[in-house]
Amino acid sequence: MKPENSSLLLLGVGGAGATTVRGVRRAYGASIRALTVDADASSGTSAETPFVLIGGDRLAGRGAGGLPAEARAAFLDKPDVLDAHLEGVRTAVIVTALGGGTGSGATSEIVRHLAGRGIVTIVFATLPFAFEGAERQNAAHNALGSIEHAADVLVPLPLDQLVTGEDNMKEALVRAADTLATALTLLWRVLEKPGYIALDAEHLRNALTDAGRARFATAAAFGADRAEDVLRALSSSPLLVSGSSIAHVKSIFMGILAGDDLRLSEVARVADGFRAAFGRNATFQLGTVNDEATFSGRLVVAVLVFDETAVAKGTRETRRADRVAHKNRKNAEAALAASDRFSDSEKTMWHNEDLDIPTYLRHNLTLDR
Amino acid sequence: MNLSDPIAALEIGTSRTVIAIAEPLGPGRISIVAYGDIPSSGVRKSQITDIGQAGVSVSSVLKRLESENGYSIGRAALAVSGPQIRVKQLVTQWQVDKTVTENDLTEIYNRSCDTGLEDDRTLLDVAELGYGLDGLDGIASPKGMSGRLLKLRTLVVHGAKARVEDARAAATAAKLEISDAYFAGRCAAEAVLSPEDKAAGTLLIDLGGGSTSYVAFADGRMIHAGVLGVGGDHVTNDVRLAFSLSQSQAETVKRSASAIFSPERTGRVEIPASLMSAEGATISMRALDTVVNARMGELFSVVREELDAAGVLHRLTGGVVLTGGGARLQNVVSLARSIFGGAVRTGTLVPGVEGLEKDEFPPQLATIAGTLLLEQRNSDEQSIFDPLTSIFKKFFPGK
Repeated sequence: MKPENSSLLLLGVGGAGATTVRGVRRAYGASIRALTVDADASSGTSAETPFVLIGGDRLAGRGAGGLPAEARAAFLDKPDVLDAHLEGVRTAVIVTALGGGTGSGATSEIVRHLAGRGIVTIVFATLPFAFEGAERQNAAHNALGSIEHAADVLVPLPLDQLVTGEDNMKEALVRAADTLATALTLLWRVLEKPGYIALDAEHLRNALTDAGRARFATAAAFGADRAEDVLRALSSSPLLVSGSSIAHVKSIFMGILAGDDLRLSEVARVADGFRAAFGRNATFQLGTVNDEATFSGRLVVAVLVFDETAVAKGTRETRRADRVAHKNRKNAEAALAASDRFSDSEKTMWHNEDLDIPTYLRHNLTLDR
Repeated sequence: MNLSDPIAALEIGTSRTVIAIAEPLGPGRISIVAYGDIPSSGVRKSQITDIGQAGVSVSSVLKRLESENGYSIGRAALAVSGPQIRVKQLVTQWQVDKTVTENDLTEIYNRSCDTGLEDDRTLLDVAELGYGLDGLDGIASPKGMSGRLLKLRTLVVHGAKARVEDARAAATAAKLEISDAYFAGRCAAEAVLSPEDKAAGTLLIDLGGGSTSYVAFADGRMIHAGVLGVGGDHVTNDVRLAFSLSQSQAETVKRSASAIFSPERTGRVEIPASLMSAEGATISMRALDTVVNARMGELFSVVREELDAAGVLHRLTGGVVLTGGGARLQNVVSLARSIFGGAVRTGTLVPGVEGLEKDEFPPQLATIAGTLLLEQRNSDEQSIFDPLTSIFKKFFPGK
């Protein structure tokens, strides 16, 4: 399938997001539908991966200088700049790094823009190392709240949990990007190169819609006890166990990747063991990939665990509203066009929103008539 | 002009055109002896869109004041509002000869008034933000201090010259001369904020018909201001579109029945009969409140975000004061409190303003009252150098 025909888009926002997406593309191959977005023109040096520069007029390609507000404004200057790359996209997997400028400032607005086009979104957002300081941590957590309100699914990935403290400082960020790129590559293989049990992009879309928060991890093992080893690695992964309770797990989306030697008992052991550890009552979806050339002798598991959280419940209405707001905005504009109340005065614009249009229409509020 | 001569002020708002007359009682004290108002025409978002119609409104108020109160006015101060108003900060420098003198302070202030505004902008207000001396910032009063390079930071409020000239032209069409133009938000603040409020860090939000002005004070100084082109007119328009009403029906419903959303308000609101709706037609009170709540909540949120972006929000620990017609909305104080936090209240006129005690809703007259206060202060300062003629073509004290 040509990349442009896929309904699944991998989108990297900001410098680190773009780096990760390029890593996935290198590992997966040219058939992946990928896009990178940044306020820094230097992120667009890769000829293979399509790149969109935001804030060209405002920032002249110099980047947001670590200022989220600049990046947000840069995207809102011309949000339609993405539209040429979104034809046929139904689900977007977004990768970004929070704590700096473009990822923190532009991601939530990009997600809102995609939601307005009916695209279901899952955002993998890395959070700064603790040693990076309170300022970057605060910027990241502020951005996290905005993204969670806008996205169908948010997967926070603290860098402290993605790489170990034993890593060389210099290499830690590179390793984090590689780890994430590898994990996303595995997810893509599960979705687009299924084996005996298929999980495709539409399964993912259905699992993601309004799902809230999720956790994501991968594990790999060799040898006779590889199923047990994988299970043990997942059960102790800080990305899966940190700060969460199995009582809140709503659904599990698992991909098992292996060569020709994959045994049925191994699939059953991993699936049952994981459900026992993370939520027997949770909805469970499983897919397998059979690829002897890549996974010979190995058993690799990629898993998404969706949590039922109060925040997720509270933000669903917002996400639904975003999704239908795009359609309703045209109605709102038509309603205003029918009114000549403000036609003889300059529009009152705020962050690209026309405040002359009634607020209840722009926010798609239901009137209890 | 004699300092005891009466003064007059004009406000051409989106909803109403108001003229008020006051007698000075002493520094910072006035007695408003008469005011008149009528619904405005030819004004949208606080800006004149039809000078002829706006002039007729001014003329009508002048006639009413003459026929009902016996006052005939030839000159007035003008309150200016509208989203064309902007603020910017300036830093002015001045070389000092060892010690800062009174003369140095006069020189640097005079230089700061040369704001370098573009030709199409006009100065409405200048507020001192603080002094710096040889790299030491945050000096309130540098007189007598030793140093070389004195800096003065000022906040400059400026408006579109054309919009001010439009208002002047409308007044001239009614044979009314404009003495000075003042930023309406600052005027409203002067009328309701005490020196203690300004020192504590207080935000004034004037909820006008066509626009919303906000002015932030801290340490006794105006530290930020702005105008958003959204006002009560937008609330009316939202109600009109939500329930398919005429403009006058929506205005009536808004004034008589709308409120910020509160769970205890249920039931239905009867709408005035018109060609578009039968007698006895009703709309849901909850739906009405939802429409109004969304608009007003958004308005406050935008103001809050502007103040946050300007870096002054954290200094506003003294609370929020609401004025203007929008402050009449039921539960608007609690909505503002939920967005700004801290103390929120509807403005009450400072003790220096007398004569409006019996008015139905004095905060609605804060802008015109404050314009009179500022005009009085300005007249006091000008009179030392340049005695002016009386504002009155003829004045009949006590009728």
